Amino acid sequence: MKRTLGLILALVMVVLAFAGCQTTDVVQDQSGAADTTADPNATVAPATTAEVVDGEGDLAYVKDNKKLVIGYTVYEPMNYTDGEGNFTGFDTEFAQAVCAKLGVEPEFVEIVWDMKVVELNSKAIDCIWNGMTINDDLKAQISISDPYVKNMQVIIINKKNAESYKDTASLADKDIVVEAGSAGESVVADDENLKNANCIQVTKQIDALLEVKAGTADAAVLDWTLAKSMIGEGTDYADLMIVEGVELSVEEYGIGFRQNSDLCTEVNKIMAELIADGTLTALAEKYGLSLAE
Amino acid sequence: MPVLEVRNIEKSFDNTEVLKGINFSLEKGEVLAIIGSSGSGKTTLLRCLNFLERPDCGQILVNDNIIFDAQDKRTQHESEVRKKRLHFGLVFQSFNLFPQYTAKKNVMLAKELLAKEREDYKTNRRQIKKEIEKEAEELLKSVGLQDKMDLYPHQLSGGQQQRVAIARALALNPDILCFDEPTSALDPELTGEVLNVIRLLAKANTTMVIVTHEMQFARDVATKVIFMDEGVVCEEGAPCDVFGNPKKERTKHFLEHYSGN
Amino acid sequence: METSVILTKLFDAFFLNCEIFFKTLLFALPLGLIISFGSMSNFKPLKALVRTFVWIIRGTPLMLQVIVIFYGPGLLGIDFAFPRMTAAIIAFIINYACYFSEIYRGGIEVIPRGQYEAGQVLGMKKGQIFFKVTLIQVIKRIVPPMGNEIITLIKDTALANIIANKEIIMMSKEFATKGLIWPLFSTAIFFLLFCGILTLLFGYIERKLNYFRA
Repeated sequence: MKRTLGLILALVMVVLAFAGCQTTDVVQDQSGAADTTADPNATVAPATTAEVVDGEGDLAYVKDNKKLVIGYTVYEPMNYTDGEGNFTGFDTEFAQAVCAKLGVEPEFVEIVWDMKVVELNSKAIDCIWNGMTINDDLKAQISISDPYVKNMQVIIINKKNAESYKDTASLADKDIVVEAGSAGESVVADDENLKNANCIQVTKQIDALLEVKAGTADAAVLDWTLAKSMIGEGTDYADLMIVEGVELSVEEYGIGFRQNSDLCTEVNKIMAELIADGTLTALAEKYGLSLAE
Repeated sequence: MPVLEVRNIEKSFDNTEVLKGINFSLEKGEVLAIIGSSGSGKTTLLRCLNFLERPDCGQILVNDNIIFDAQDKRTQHESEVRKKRLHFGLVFQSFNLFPQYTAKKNVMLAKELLAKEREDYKTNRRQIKKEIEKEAEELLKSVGLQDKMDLYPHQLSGGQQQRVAIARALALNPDILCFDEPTSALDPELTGEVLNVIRLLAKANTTMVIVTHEMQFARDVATKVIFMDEGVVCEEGAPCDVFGNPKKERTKHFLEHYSGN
Repeated sequence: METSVILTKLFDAFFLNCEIFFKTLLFALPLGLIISFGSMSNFKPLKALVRTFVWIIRGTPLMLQVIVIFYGPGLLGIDFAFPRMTAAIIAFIINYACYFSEIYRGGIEVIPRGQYEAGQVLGMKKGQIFFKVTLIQVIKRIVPPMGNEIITLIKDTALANIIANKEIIMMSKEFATKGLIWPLFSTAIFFLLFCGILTLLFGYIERKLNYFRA
């Protein structure tokens, strides 16, 4: 009796501890989950408990099973179902390509994002592959592959102003245009210098570029991937440019594995091959993403 | 030959001796009234007769057969006890009718269930059911409830419910019919109808054991009275002797207290 | 996306809620009865064990139990896992069986001793007393609290989405991330309709049992 009770209590604490690790990078959408994970005491333990689960034999484990169980959530353009009902996306195709090289079948399992580390550690899934932003909290709990996609917010200006605007400080009292509700808008609101600027909100990214081109605004803050594809030579916005060296709100995507997983090393190797032979670059172009350098 | 003989019955609950060696016997057709103050052990004695309590010591004989012996485990086996209970009927203070059945069904139920154990039940099911139903109707008529047979207990007054309970106990033709303070839970104006039914039964020579607080009634109906006090039979005899000329101080004291009310 | 397509997807997802609901009832109703007998047992160790178990299950959130059953074995290093739906349904069965057992126990314990004794002195067997005398009285007493619990069950089925069972709430949230908010609110209609039917059903049963008073 006592032993069973002890076991159950221990299990409960382990679960609480894992849940506690994730509070920083997830949006709580389950009121019940918020109750348990918001407990400040639960965050004390993660470092030790996370190390309990070791992924050392993962490569053999996955090869034995002949399949790689991939945890994802529906997230365009990484993993989603297209208009014809096909499950696709950058990460979907990327994972399929990696699995082909590994010699295993990919099995995509939809998970609850809040539970991703527990899913991984309980072996319900073998990896998290879903445009996961790499951060230090996650690194403490799981092994993460080399970054494969990079995104950031950049500042777009007219080429003729290249000399005047070289950093955010120089834009502190200028007119800056952003798309309402975009990541760019929050970057402007949070940045020490940019928050003092006159922020103009427009409904479309393309309108932001138009404002800068027309000179009605001094700069625009936009998604890097998008900006790269829309300005430059051969476009209507060839007279615009990205301010070099200003990288705002940089995020890099990685694949999550169990701590110390040898599978992670193997996938990194395959990823390097896929980059070398151009497969990944083609995929990035197809889905409008930018590979990490 | 006595129809019922009780030998040296003892019963304790958690080290409290409730019955300290009870002996009495009853001839067929006799009506025994058991009187005494609350806590004297009357109800426990009645419950022992119906096997709702197991005596710690002593024997119970019906028609000279030992049906219970505290020394003999074989007489206490559950399936045995169930059949031996049928020698006795019991009418409870709080009626304990089955609320989900009509008056008639309350009377029929036990007999129907017993009939299922008969060998010819499967072949004569309809016939048997009809007989049981007819008997139940007769019994309810005899307690004056011919027009209440299809009513549910909650639609009947307390007096009517108790009369149904009497009919139910009679349905199994017990050798001895026991009453546990049958009118104590009734409003005073309803006791009469129940006591009248018991009077009629006495006239029809039904062997009965009645635990009661109704002294006048006991005196009228009983052929034999036992006065119990602190777990023993204090005084025993014909009603005219016990009520009219009690020998023991305690009996006198008890009766004075009651007539004083 | 077209409204009809979205509604079809919500319907399909609600089928999962219904599956959890019916399978839970199917197993938890009888299991609850067994547990209630355990918790009323005269054998003290069994009674203590069962009551402790019921205390633990009723005293912890269902969501946590779902998590423990699905992730627990893997986290303890056991190479075994239930399928997601199975894990959720098992957790629901255990949880609801414990709640039901307490309702049964309440219903059984309030039946007056006199009902059993009346059956005994009429020479009935234990089983006969249970089925012919007390059962319907117990049922009458437990129908209202059971109704409450069962209505709670259909709403609780949404908790299964913590282990990524794509029931209706999770499905509608997916639409919400694509900028469609109405599917989330429209799920209320599914639950309301279901509860409405249950309420009518339990009202009918209560009326049917109104012919006597226990």
